[in-house]
Amino acid sequence: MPSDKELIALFTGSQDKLAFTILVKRYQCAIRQFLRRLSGGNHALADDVAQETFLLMYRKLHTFNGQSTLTTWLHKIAYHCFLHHQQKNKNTESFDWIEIEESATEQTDASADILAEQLMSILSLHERLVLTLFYSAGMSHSEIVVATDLPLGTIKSHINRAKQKLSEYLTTQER
Amino acid sequence: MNSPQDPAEQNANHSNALFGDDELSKLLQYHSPLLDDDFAKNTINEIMKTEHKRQIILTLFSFLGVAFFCLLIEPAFLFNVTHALATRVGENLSFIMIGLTMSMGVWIVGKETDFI
Repeated sequence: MPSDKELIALFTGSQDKLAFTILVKRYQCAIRQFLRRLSGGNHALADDVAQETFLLMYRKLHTFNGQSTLTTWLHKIAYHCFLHHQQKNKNTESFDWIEIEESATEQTDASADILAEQLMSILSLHERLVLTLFYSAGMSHSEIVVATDLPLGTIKSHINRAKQKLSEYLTTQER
Repeated sequence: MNSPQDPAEQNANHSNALFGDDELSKLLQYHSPLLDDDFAKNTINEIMKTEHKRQIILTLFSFLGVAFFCLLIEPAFLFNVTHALATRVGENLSFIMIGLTMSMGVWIVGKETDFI
């Protein structure tokens, strides 16, 4: 299986569409899931923003210098696309604070992702962002700094605050 | 940053007492991988379509830029080209050809960019 580096070289060198298709297939799952969490479970919006992300990847891949991993770079683009989309549609759409369905909290497996997406809606955008990158995408603090341009201290504070909020929320749900 | 005195670290320990890292990881991990379900195919098609349109618009603007530059620097150049065509092929025919070519250009660009 060709590495990311080889695929990038193939695409930037000779505009190899197959190499680009393999990269999209390789990262589509991670980017769509990340955006689903960020949007609090809005799947249509997440897929639209994911498409924009890969379009930007197509245009800007020649600027990728390999200082971070491709996944970190893509998460950064996805986050900025999401912010741009949110600013553009701030008067027409509202996907913050989606009501958490009672049934979702009782099921497991298939609905576990839906529950996690819905839980995100009780957090602020930055809290969602860093929590998803840390716990779901499995990034280290230094990778999150690169992906979000937030200072390390702020990232740690957001993670702690988000954990407290989720703890409090789940405790009240259990009662 | 990571010293034991760090307030963020102390806060983290407090949070861990409320909600364990393992517990949270389990809750927030991506549980079911998203199937490709034509997403990659649709995305590639969409990218190619968008890039194609972009290329056409860029080409059109390049032509317009060159024409504007010629007009600005040497208006007589364009006039001479048109005049040479008009006298060599025949006045009416050359104007009809120019008109047809321009209409076709506008139609093709309009079609490709979904304006028509």
